[in-house]
Amino acid sequence: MAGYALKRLMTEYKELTTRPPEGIIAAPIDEDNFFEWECLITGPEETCFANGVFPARITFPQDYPLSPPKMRFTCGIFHPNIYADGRVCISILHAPGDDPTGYESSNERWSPVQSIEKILLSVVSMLAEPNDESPANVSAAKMWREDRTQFEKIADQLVRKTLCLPASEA
Amino acid sequence: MVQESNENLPTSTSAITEDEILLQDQQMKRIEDEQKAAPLVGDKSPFFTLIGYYDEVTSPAFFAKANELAETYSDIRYIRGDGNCFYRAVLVGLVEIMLNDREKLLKFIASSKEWTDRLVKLGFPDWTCTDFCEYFIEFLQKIADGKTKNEAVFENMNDDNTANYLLMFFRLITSGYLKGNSTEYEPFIGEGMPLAQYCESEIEAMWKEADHLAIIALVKATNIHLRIEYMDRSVAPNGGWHHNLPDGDDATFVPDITLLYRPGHYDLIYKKSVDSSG
Repeated sequence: MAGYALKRLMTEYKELTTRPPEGIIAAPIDEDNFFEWECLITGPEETCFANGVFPARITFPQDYPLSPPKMRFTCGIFHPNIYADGRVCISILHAPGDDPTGYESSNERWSPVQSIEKILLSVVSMLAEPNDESPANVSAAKMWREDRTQFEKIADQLVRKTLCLPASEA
Repeated sequence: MVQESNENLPTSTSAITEDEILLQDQQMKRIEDEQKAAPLVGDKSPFFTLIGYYDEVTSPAFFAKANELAETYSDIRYIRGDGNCFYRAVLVGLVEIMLNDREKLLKFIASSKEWTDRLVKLGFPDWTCTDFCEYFIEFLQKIADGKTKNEAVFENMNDDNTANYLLMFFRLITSGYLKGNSTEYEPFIGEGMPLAQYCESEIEAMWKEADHLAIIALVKATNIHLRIEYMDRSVAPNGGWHHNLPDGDDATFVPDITLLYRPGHYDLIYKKSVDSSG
């Protein structure tokens, strides 16, 4: 049943290790289970997430790549397009027609020719440029819009935390 | 005045309650279960089984049309209604032709290989796309080499994963045909949506139904003659009961594959053999 998914995931793993995209590491947590991955994403430069290293989990369905995987940050990141529990809400993780927030119609959707790499790159651009229309985290979107300084402060604390640096004053 | 104000309060139409979401989920699940109870590709059944779906009194138009079609068509192969039915019906129809015609099989293998290169040149993501092409070509090659027997072919086309991998090839060449002829087809896409975006969200994604543009594109990409019989003539592009693709005169048009369209769904149908229809 899951043979095709497994074969595809192994190919993607190989691709990602031989040609890793900059600032991203992704691999199965356990080589006995290719359906559960862990990844580390470096915050994009010149943004408030710069230098941070953010861990996330990717869970693949048995019919991957026909259906998209799910992705969840495990570091408590505060961001308009990430639910409070860490689930990532971007268009490429949704099949067309499955649109929980309604704002994504013009963005790239999941299709079986997409890849894990494409998802991770979309997540990096999401970190750089939050989409604050119909967000997954309403208070993060509100703060992003109305109090950018405070939003950046929270991001900076998280960046420090992911790097095991002491929290900044103020 | 005050006591009437309640009537003017906004109703809860905009805010969907958790109960409603739960109910929707249950309904979706039920529809999904019903879909999955049907095979992806049914066995060939007598065409008259279709008549049994319609009541003479409550749906007289469909009842009459089914009876009329039964004069021309002997068999029907029901295809699962999961949003892939058009692509799946064409896939099954083509594979059936190739099982009986080695020359066509070899020709289709060659053209599938050409399609693989063409898709990469058109800018489809390299190996994720060719993975589906290679899988499809291998499937056909095994038939050509006698490694897969007819029975196993139908088992493959009824196995969710195998079947959907094969089907993806058809979605990709449909999309590839449109992308390769974008100047001709872009004007037909509504709401100013770019053609590439239309292809990615409407064609390359699984479980999305084929619209008229997708139908034309797949017919051209596979180079087949397709006839679609409409149960509901209001949706036929020419306002008639059937439509030939590419456009062809009924007198000379010989369809390779014939599909039956019922609102939102396609099944594969077969004409009575020559000796019984005259």
